[in-house]
Amino acid sequence: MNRFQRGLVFLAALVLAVGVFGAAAQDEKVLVIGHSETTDSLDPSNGFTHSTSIVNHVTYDRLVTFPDEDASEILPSLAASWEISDDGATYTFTLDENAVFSNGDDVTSDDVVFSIQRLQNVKGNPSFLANHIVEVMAHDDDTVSITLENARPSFLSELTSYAFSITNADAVRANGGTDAADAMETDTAEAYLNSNSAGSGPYILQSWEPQVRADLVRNDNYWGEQPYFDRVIIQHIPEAATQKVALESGSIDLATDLSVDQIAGLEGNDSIEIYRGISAVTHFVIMNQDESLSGPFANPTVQLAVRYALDYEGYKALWGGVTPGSNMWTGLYSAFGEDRAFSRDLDKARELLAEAGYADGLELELEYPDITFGGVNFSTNAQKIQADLAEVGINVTLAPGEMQVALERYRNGEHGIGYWLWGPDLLDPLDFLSFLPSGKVATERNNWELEDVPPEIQDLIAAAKTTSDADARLEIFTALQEFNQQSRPFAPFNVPEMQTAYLADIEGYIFHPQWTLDVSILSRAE
Amino acid sequence: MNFFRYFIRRAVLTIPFLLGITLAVFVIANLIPADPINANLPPNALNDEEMVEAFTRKWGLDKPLHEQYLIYLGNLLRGDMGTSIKTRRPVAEDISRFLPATIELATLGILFGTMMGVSLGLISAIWKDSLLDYAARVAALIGVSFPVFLLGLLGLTVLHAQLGLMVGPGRLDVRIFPPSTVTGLFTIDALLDGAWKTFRNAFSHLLLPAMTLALYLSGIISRITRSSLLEVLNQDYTRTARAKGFRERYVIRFHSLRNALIPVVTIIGLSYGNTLSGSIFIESIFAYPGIGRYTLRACLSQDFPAIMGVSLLFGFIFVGVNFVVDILYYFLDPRIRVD
Repeated sequence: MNRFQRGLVFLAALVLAVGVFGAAAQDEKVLVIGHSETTDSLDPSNGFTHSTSIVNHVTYDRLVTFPDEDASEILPSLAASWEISDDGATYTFTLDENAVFSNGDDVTSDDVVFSIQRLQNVKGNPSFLANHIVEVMAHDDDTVSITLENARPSFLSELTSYAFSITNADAVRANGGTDAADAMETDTAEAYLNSNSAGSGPYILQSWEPQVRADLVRNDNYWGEQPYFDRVIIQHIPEAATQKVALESGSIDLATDLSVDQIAGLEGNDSIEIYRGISAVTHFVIMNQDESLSGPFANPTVQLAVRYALDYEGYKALWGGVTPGSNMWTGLYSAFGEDRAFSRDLDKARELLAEAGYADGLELELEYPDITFGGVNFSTNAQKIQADLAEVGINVTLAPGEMQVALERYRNGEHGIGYWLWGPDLLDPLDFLSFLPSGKVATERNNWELEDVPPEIQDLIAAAKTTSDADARLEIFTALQEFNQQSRPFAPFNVPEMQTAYLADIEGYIFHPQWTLDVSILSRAE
Repeated sequence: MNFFRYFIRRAVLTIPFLLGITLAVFVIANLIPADPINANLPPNALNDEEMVEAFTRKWGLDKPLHEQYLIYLGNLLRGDMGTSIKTRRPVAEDISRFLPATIELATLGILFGTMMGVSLGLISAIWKDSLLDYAARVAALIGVSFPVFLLGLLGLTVLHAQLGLMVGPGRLDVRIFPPSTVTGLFTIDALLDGAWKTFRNAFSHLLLPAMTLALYLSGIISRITRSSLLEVLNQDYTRTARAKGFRERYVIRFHSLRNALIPVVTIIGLSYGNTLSGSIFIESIFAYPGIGRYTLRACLSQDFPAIMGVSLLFGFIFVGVNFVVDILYYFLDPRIRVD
């Protein structure tokens, strides 16, 4: 071939290639999500972040799930049905016989055993979720039972977590995975699971380039209803301001990280739709029960005065959302809502301070991390707390800290008075026990011990941990929240609004407190 | 001086310098009252002694500090920079993934910046105290003092979102696939692939961030150029040249500029080193996956192996850039050759 002929062949090949790709690109329905990637792993047993959740929610299925919009009930997923033993410690699941993995393999009880044991043994970030599991046993292809240390009323809610994603045991094993006891040293499947998925969800992970983008393509073998989009691209855009620009120019369909004021700037833009709901975090003031650290603020009367002194409506005006009725996240079963929340009463607060012997005023240093979370700026809130408390004679000095340093003090319970936020680790009322003695925040971070509270409260805390019956739980958690309102070293003041902005032709968006974004239920108006 | 001996001496001096960097970074990273365990494990896993122990053992955090440091050095000698705690990939691989993006950006940025900066500086110096000079000096002042993240956002908002003249954030449009990896530089790789469209897209994605970077750099460069040239223009030899009756253009070009360029080259070299170490602001605003973002992430998660790795890299970059600058002196200034 001479040079001219070679050139001609090359040209022909080029035209052909452009034609093929061009056609494919035109027919494909593509969704582009602008997202600030937080994850280091998409392996269900290793990753435990917002980004992992968005991807793994649609590339895998769990045994059970929540409804699309909230956490109000448990629905079947891979498990068609289940039974709980009388002692509340053994759960037996019957798998849906239609369920298949994206490569066509049946989902069997062996896959369930493998996935849960691997989660336990690789000792990855989410492995603690499986700590209470004693045994996972396959009875036949479709029946599997899970035995727990003891009764655990929140177990089904926990199983909805993306950490309990069921992986294809054969595929993971073939790529270095193992569920053996020494999996922490011997399992090498993470690299594979970071660029492939081995699940049964509506999408397949096609590629992931960390800090750049993740590409999901539709699973043609999906055993449920097919999603609308053929391809979902999750584009890493670290700066929210940049996400906003990208959304305005239409180069992304949905932005996951816009702040409240950025979204305010999009209002009136006809090509953009704004979704509003409550976020999954509670902002609260925490007062150390250890008197040597917090001085007068270890006194329950002073703590109550602080709760009366805060201007709850003011925080709502700043960040939207609701005022929580207790330290239980507002969106959970049995949680006290705004109707049972505190409202500001300055006279009452002054009265309480006088009663405690501090009529002449008090000094406090407020420690908090110098961060912005979900668009809510901690410094702004700290300054407002300072102004609120000044009105009752409490003189606040602000002590912002670098996140890691402040977190260290908070986690070790070394702060005096702090300002932090809490997002439920678990979408179940049981999560609230973190704020009662023997719970994580109350005891580890705030030195509030079980012997500090009346015996009947101690009994209620114990009962909450074993009772599975819904009505009985409602009663227990109501009593505990009433106690929490009156005597607690916390002042929860705001559950901020969360907003999401997306192009106006995107339909079906719902914020979910567990997985935040379900790309498989989105579609585009045609 | 013998060029070869000069080269060897410089190369040998680099070794204790880099060792010093590793030691300094190691000490500083360990002095910060933050804990890699807290930074990397989720809060719930911290309650789990077994998990904390597993993590500590896996990353060698249970060993005494000096031992950790020696292990690190030992591995380094074997060419192993360790594995990043955060990404769980070898640090060397991470660097090879993120550095090319920064190289592309920094190189284009420094090119634009030098062109703009040197011309502005020349105009300023030649027509000193004229209206042109004032305009150029104000432009330089704005370039230096305007926060780059704001400049970047303004550029994106006006030129991309509103006017549609420039492409958006990222290295490529989402619908365009990256070229096959040879150098990691998308523009070069796309040309090697013969993918003209990919090249055009990658290049247009570079323009806005590079211009932003250039505006900042040109401010510094033009100020140095101006003051340095003004100084030279007042020297005796310049006066002599003028007295000989040479035209001003000739005097500036062949007598003054060359001498004035030495501090300019120095500052360009230093700026290049700086931008090669990644511009965290620009990379964040433009969603540009470069080494600056990687460094930031490593620092936020107390990712020791990655922090050490990038520090070493930056050490190399500065040594390299300074070396090139020294060689340029060698050619620019005959006196150095004689010394």
